Amino acid sequence: MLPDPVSAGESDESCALMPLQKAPSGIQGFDDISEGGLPRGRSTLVTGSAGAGKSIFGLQFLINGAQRFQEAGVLLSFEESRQSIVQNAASLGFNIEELVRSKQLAVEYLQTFPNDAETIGSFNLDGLFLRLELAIDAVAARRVVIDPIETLLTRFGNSDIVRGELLRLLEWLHGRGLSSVIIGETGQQGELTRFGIEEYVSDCVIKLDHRVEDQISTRYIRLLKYRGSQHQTNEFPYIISSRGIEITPITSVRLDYIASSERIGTGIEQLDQMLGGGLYKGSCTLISGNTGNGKTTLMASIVSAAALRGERSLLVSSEESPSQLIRDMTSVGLDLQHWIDAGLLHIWAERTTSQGLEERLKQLELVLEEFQPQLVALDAIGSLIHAGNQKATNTILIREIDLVRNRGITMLMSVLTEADHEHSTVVGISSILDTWLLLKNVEADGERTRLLVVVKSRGTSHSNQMREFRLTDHGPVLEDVVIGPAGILTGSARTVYQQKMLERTARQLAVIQQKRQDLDQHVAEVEAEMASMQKQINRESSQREAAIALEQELLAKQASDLLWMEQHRGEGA
Amino acid sequence: MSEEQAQQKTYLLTLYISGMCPHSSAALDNIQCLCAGELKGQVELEVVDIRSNPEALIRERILAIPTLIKRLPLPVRRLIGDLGDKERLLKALGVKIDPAGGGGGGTPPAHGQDGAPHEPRGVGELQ
Repeated sequence: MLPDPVSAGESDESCALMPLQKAPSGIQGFDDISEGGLPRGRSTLVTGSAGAGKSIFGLQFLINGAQRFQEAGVLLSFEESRQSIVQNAASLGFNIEELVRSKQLAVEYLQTFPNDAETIGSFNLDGLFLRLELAIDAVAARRVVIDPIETLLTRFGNSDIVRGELLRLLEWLHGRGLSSVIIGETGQQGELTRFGIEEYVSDCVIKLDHRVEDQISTRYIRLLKYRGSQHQTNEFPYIISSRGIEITPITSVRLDYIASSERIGTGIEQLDQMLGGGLYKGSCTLISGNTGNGKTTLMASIVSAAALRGERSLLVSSEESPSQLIRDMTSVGLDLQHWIDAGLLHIWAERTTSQGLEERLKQLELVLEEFQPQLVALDAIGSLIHAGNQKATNTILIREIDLVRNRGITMLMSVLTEADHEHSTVVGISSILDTWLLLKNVEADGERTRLLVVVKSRGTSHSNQMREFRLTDHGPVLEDVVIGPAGILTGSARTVYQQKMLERTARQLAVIQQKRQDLDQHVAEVEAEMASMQKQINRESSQREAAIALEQELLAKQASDLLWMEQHRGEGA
Repeated sequence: MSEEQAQQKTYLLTLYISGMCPHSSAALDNIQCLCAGELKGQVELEVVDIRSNPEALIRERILAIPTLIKRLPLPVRRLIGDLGDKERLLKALGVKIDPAGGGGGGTPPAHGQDGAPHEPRGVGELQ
């Protein structure tokens, strides 16, 4: 009846021979880093500190299994009460009671088990096995989660008996082909699990970590071990949002954003032309520039253009309050208040330092869910740096970008750059950008002029030329710049140059016009001459016709005279 | 002795077993031995096989097999294991063995020796 613990070696061999089947977790990002999910028919140890989200991981594995992959599951919960499991699931938007009613899930609440028993002699855990078996059979389960396994050891003692039973349990689950998640707890001295459970679960070990660095709390997930499968070995940050665990791989392990070929206008016709028709829908655009270069205005223009098309935008302002932003934009002819009233624009103003980065991500996620925007503008990402160290900031930023892009939302970001280091602050993220617009200042002849250049635009034949970016009272416009002998001319230098050019052209025009008039006159003269000559030709040719006619007449007369003379000569003879 | 027999069934015990697994049969042997010895006539013993009676398993929240529940005398107590250590078993059941009552106290050691082999056997099996 009891499987022999020694048979573990045998199953390892069979694992090597067969390609490893996976049971998808349905947890966003996890199936990417694990190349498909958890090992099917085998056990996975999920271990971590308190509050790392282990139970949620298990719950998601079961709920997703039931709802998305047609695999019923059993939850064996030792520590959480029925109520807290229901609440946990409800926070992810799932009704556990409903899943239980529809036989997609069986939940065994073992929380209330008495642990006041005295142990006298040897025993086994057949009671537990039988309960598990009954629950599995009741729903024809393919997945099992035991949360947390340590309870068995604390309740029945960390003895050889319990360890033996634990091994028998894992073998039993394996023998029934169940994909199981065994939840463990990390030890206080940093041991992977309090009782070294990892020795028993040899197929897949996942560690969830909840760390605080520079006062910023971040959760990390890491696949410590995955026998017989490729997997990512890095630590990946994740958040627990209203959709459960969301892992956002830093390097976007698989870039499977749906690339749209649809273009959206920026509200500035000349910019659309420079970009070969506009920004791609769902792309990520960075607007960088010095202070006062019009980054926010450019964003507001793109946002307004989206609103004009009836699309919703979220403007995340980390530097200005909504009223300040609205006032400033009104001065350049962009009426943001109108779009707010129309429900097409939401300004989310939050100074980044006022909340942790992790919290900010969560909030952003909530706002995205509530407002469902088609465009998100982050103004400005540089302010994130004040909220944490550089590494944490970059990580968070990329996670923000992923959070937005995974939803197919077009993204704009602005970043403040130092005058001399236009390209430096964005090097860290430039590789994930689709379009990069650089706004720069040119100071010449005592004035500053804004220039816009398209540094990069993926999938687009974009213009390499700079344009002058002017803020008018009816919105920003782009003007062609003039390439003069000394380089690009902007501002009044351009005006002077253009005036000079106009004068020169005018002089040239005058000369040409004079020449044309002269030629016109000459042509007229020649034509008159030609007309009179034609007349002469006509006259002379008609005289010639008359002469020919006379000549013919004379010849004919002569011929008839000769004939007459010959006839009469014969008569006379 | 007759007085004790009068207030019958001082001990109300339920033993939960799983089929005839070694631990279950050892526990059954040990408890029956006790019922026939030290606690003769005082015990009402119910034996429940969880395999044929899973409702009891859920109702009584049994995880470990064998589990002995002492319902009477109060307080209710749970004992798990094959109950091979008679001294501890008696103590856990709250049985006061009268040191003067030679007859009653004389027999336990013999039974204890009978039960003793069960323990090492059970442990060895799982190691």
